Amino acid sequence: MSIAVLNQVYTEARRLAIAGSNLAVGDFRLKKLVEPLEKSAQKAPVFGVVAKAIDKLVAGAEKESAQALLDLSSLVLAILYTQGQTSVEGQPQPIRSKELSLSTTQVPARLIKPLIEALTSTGSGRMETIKEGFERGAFDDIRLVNPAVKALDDTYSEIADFVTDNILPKYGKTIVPEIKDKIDIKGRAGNVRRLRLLHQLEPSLARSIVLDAFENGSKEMKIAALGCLGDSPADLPHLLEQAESKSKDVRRVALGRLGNFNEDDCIKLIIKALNGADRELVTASIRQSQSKPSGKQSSRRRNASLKSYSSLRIKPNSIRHSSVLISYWLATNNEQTKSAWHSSPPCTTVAMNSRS
Amino acid sequence: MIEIDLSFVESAAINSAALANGRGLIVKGKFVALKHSDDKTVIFGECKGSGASNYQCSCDFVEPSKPVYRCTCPSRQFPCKHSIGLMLAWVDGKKFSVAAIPEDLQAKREKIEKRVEKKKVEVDKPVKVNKSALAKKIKAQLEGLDLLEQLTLDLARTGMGNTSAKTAKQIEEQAKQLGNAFLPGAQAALYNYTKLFASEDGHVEGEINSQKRERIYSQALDQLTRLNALVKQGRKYLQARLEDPELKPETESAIAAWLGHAWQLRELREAGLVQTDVELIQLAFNSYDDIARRELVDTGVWMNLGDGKIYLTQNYRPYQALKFVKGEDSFFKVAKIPELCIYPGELNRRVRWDGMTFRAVEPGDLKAIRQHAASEFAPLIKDIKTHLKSPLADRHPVVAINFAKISQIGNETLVVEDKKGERIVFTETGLAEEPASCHLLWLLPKEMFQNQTLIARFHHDIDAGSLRVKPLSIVTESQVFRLTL
Repeated sequence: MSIAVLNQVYTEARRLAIAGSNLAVGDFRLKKLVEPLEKSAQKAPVFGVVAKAIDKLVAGAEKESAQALLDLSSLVLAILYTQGQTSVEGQPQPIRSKELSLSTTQVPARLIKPLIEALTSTGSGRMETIKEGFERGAFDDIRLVNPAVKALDDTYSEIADFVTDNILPKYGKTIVPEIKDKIDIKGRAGNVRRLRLLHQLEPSLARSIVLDAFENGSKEMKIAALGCLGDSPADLPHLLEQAESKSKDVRRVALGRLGNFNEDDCIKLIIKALNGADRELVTASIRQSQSKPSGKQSSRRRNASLKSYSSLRIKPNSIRHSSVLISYWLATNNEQTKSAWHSSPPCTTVAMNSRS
Repeated sequence: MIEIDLSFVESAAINSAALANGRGLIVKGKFVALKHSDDKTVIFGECKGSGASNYQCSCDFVEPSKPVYRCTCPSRQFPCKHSIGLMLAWVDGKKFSVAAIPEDLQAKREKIEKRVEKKKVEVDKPVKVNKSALAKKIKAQLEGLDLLEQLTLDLARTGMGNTSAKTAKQIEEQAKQLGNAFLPGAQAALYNYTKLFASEDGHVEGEINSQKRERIYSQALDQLTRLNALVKQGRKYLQARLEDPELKPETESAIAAWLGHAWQLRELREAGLVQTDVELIQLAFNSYDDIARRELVDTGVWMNLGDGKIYLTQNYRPYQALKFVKGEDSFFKVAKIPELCIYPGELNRRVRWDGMTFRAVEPGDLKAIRQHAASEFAPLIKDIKTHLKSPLADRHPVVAINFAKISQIGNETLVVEDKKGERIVFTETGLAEEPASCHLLWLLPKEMFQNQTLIARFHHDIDAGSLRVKPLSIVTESQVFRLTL
């Protein structure tokens, strides 16, 4: 009860300090508090001291009011500082920790501080700082997790992409809730990266968002969603459709993802692309299809189709043809293809470059 | 014997640019000669520079706790990039040939030895004080306090609500006079008041909105009472010194520092405020920009492994001197200090030293931290409240406490409990310049929440009437897990 009175004294003193000490003289709200204070003084003399201080203020002259108000405030504050409540009501529960696997914070301030600034602000020179920090293993430090996630939306896309591809995957599934909650399917750059990352970390969780973005998202999000399709056979019709899209970007992504499949339709499309202007777009797809484990029968079929293509192109003349065949050779180590481009000078150069 | 590693070189460098330049010298192959002395106490060499002749640089470790860097280049930085490059070459394991110590280096060594000897003799001799100059200074300080009193009373009279950006600027102008009156501490205290009325970037140019105003009034009133106390206690202290010119700066309380006295190590030694052969371990670190003081500040929180006291180091780097004053960094080893000077004050006293060596942290050190930390919250909280009572006290003391568990209440509130079930709630508010740390607690492995030692900073919220803690680090059996910087 008595502490409540002191809190009231503080509130009034604060009010008067805001308004100006001249108004404190004769202030009736303060005057009213003198009586309860004097009563409490019987139990604790300090209340009597406070009462006297109030008297001095309200009954004093205006030119003394500033000093008197400061003295009263000092007195009341000194007492209130001893009355702080530390506890709180409620039943404590174990912390629902996300338990990041990194558990070290031994990176020195000189390295971390510029990194945090580089990740959360704008300006030049940040990419070098971040790259250097990454090379020195600074991102193993838990204090950089949140700034790194923020960098998904960095205005400089190189930084945002670098963080998305190299740094954030390290943190694993722990950051999934953080990313998932913030995806906007109508969004652009940052959201595209979030979707890509989510798909990388937790493909099953990402599925519904991917489909939603593919149907209803903005242009950039649709392409990003397309890049996440291909994990399930149900996606094949979508991919086949988009592989014939007018936009090169869309075709690139679709053809890239078709590498996951071995169906005849896919092979036909890939060969068609090889024959046409889209041959560079299918390189990754071919490589991926070779490295993907698949049934023996389907892989034989695939190899047969691609072999037939390469036999048609025994003497490739252009560098572009060569690069496709080289990637096929690298993926399959196919002797026939090897002999094919050995015979053609432009191919040899390209081959030497790619062999390293 | 030179025992330096990469982290030593990194911490010796003034800033990262110097380090990068030193590294660049090696990469570009600018070092023409790399040598070391027979007893391996000094490394020296020749480096190509932009001048006509090569630069001769050296790093002398004859006194391991006080390495000396010398170079003939015109840079005034110590260590210059050539010395840093030399040390980096040593750490990298490059080929250094044995050679005799050059004559001039030897001569300089002897000069230092003579100077150290002279200092030792001088220390015994009492320093002569110019009494009339001191009396003049104290009078100027007393006048400064009169000015401070007048400013403070004016602020109280006009009212905080009527303190606009314009009036705050005017006050800052007047505060400059306090600096002239040998009262930099009082000046800083006044800036601490005016900066509350400043906008985000620290300038009192634009007006702050009414929401922000409402939040700062309690803090502003607290600051006014501090200024009031500074005037009263400062006046009493200075009068006493005026009456007795023999009187040394006071050591019982920190009033001298609050007024702005910059303690010299010699003065602290004379006053007996030293401890010898101390081992300190750093518990937390922060580096921030104090816009009001126009300085960068590096502060460390350390524990004395011997008696468990928590000390603070403060390294002030004025904007104009950033190139020359070394920025500090987090320190992950145990500092072995032959002579630790301790400033007057209470609870977390400021310390400074001149010369140290280091060793790796051992499990025994982490155990020592736990043994020194308070195990029961109730008596600790009582001590903290008693400390906070004093108007000029440090409002945000740091403590080490052993806890039984850290848990959550509801979705947002985090509490720490001791083995008796006494609780303290966490808060993110502490010192304005300290990075947020509570949010990291949600990412930690579960072991961190049971039976560890917490390094925490107390914060009393005047409006809410609550006393809370902000976590700075958690000390486990294997490491000091830092949450700030």
